[in-house]
Amino acid sequence: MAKRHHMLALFNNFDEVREAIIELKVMDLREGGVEEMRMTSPIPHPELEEVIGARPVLVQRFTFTGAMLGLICGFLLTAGLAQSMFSVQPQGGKAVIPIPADLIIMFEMTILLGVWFTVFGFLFGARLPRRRSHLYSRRVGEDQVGLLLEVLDSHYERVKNLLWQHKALEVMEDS
Amino acid sequence: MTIKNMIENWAQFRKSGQVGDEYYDHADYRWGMVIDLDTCIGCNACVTACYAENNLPVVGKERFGRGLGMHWIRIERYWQTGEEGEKKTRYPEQGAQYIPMMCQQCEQAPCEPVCPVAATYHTPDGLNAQVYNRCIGSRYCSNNCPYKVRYFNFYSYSETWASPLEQQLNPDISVRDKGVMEKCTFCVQRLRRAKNDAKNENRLVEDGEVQTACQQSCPTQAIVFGNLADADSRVSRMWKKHNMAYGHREDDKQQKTERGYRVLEELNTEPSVIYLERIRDENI
Amino acid sequence: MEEEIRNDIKWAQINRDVLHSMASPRRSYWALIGLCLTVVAIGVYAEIHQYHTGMGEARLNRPQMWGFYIANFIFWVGVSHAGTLLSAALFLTNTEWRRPVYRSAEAMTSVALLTAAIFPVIHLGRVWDFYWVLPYPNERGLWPNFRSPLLWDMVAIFTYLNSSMLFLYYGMIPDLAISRDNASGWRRRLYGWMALGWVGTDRQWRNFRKGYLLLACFLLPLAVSVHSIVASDFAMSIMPGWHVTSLPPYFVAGALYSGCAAIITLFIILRYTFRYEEYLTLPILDKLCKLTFAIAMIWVYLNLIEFSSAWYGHDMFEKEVLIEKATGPYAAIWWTMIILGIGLPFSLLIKWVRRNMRVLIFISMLINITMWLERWMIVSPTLARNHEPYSWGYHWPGWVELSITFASFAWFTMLFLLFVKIFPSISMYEVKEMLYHRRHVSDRLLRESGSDRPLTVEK
Repeated sequence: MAKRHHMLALFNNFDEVREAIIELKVMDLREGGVEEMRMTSPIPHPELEEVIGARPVLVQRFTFTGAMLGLICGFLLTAGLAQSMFSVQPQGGKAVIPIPADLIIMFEMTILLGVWFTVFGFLFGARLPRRRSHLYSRRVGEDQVGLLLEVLDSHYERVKNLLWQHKALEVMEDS
Repeated sequence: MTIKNMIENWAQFRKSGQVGDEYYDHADYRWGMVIDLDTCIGCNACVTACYAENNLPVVGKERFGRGLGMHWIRIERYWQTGEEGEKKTRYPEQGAQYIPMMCQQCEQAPCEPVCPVAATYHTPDGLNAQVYNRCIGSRYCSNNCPYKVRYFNFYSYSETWASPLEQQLNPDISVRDKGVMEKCTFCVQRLRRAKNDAKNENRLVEDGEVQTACQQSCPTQAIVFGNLADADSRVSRMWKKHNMAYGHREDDKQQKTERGYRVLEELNTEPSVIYLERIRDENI
Repeated sequence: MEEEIRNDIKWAQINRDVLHSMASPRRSYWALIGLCLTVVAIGVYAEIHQYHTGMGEARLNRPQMWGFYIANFIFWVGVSHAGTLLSAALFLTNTEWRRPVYRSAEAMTSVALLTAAIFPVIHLGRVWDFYWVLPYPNERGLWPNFRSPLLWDMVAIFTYLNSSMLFLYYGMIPDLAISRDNASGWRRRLYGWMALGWVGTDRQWRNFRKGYLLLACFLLPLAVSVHSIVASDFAMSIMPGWHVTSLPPYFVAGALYSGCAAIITLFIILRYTFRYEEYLTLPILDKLCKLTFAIAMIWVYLNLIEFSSAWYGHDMFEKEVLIEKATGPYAAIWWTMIILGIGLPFSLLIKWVRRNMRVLIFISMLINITMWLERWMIVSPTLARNHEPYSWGYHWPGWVELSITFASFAWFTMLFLLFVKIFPSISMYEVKEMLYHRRHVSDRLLRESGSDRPLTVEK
């Protein structure tokens, strides 16, 4: 297996990183060499994500599953518990399984599980929680845009030069 | 399992529970009461009897004045006042009018469904039961009771029965501690004993076999209590005589001799206690 | 005069400003915390006394089974509303000025809910058995009663507390990562743990945005439902003056009204203490005031609807309650509430008031006191004039209820103080995002108009 280099290049702003990304992309399409490319930024930048190559986000599927699960659980909880009382209780002219009252619990449970599953979906999609790699700069949280690259040994020097050409402020490596 | 149980018994569980569509269709007992206001003299004997029978605490003058009294049955007194300029009362010779007020054991009780822990529920014999051990004291039931006949133990009253007074406590019924809601039970401990006795002898409780404490002590016998499920019982006959039934409205009255009414019946609580109107001069 | 957030403010400066607000509390901060703790301690003492002696110490009585505790509960749930509801609604409508204010507003929501959640518990006659309302499996086959509006309440508050705290935390993850990078000691460990290893890759941001949108979509209906369900405690009963169809929207409007006023109060205090003049700007305050006015008018309208439906419906009992409110022993409180509640928001129409923070903080606090009275006037007059004339009676608070009420305000203040010192109270990344997009748009316009201004976006 060919040796790979992991590196993080820091840029001053999105416009500079954009140029670098496009050039790296073109190089990668022509002859390969860039195994992985990620941008890390202080704010989200949907347009640049498109350039890098957006992948589908699956959070909404989690949300939907959670919401449906909540709806069903809500009903089973209320209806199930109403008839599992030590004595089944008709009360005040209301049925043992009262639909209007159950609907309210179902509504709340839909949201409760929906919210939790959304958060789980996000954690799953974003691959969190995880240990922070050494390739990280606190400047990314501040005002610099980083480019995380995994490069084959054969292209290492070229990529590095390319990054410097595009006004990279710093290139950190961890091989 | 519960899901199987639910599917099998769906129709039963979905019974609306309102009068005419009840969960307990074929119960042997349905306790009911008639109070004749024409005979009531407001002597408070029923209240005293209730205190003795049901271990009700005496809260003292100061706390009673604050509205913390624990009388499960109370004699309410009303004076009729006329409009401004008219004669002050229509029946000055009658003075105050009395109405003994206790838990009406509503068929569609507003207090029941609001309890968060299901400490109050409807028994098969039509009682509005209060489970002291289960009560957590949210007091919602009392707020939602239009008759305000639910009483809350705002304090622990065990000191009320300083020795040797505890000797007079009724052993058939518990002494409630602070933080618990309580109310008239139609002397459920007596009903329970009568039902058990009857069951041992393989029969139903006979009419007149069981009396509530208030009924027992009423000098004018204004209170009649019995089993409404038994069409021949005295209380059933009186309900019929005054054209009263669950689902009945005051508009349904046919003749002047029908004196029955239920308090606040427009709220659709369907009480099991009916009152017979006082006979007034104009009725004669 | 102060203007909008400056476009040329440096991103690193934003970090510094916000992180500075979390650093080394001044002595006055500890003094305030100490004061709050003292008041909370008095409240705890009152509660212990009530626990030992009985609920009678709350000066409740037979018709008046609910008093200050439930009024407090409604009030604090109400205050909690504006934060999350506004944050979610303004997010979904893409309102720009939300970004600097939403973090503190959401924190207010969570903190107010933590305050509100105390009251249903301590108002119980048997506090020690409070867990019986939870559906936990037990050998006795006993379950809670889902027919009860109190149970709906429990479920709704639980859901709301979960969701709003998750929403707050979720939106804070990128900022926690920033805090982690700049902190040391226990703070570094705490933020490091809470930031979950966030580094801001495109994958993380992509999922983050989607998740945030979905959460906001959930929170909007949830917040409306929660106060409707609190209103159901009253509207589902048969008591005159409670059993009113318009009560749920009335509660929601009232909640937003008092919540917005609370946001204004906290806005001014934060702006002053943390020198957030750059971020919590006057134009934002101006918009908040206008929003408060609009919501107040909904509340006023629903008030009038309630009176007129009592009047037109000609329900004897309901009319009696209304007349009791206006002429009975509670009349002074009720009229204060009506006059201030309707009158005060009109002062927000005056530009001078909206720009004058001393006046504004006074008005916003007064609005909240008014709204507290409103909650009391929902609970007590109805019970005072119930269906049964023999059981009419009033409730006036004793020292126990008063101490616990004050303690709840101290508790709220204390939690909020802790929050702003431990967590970033302004969203750093969202402010940056706002500035970036603003510059981006203006740069594109300049470029299209043929200007030779540099295209780069400064940070």
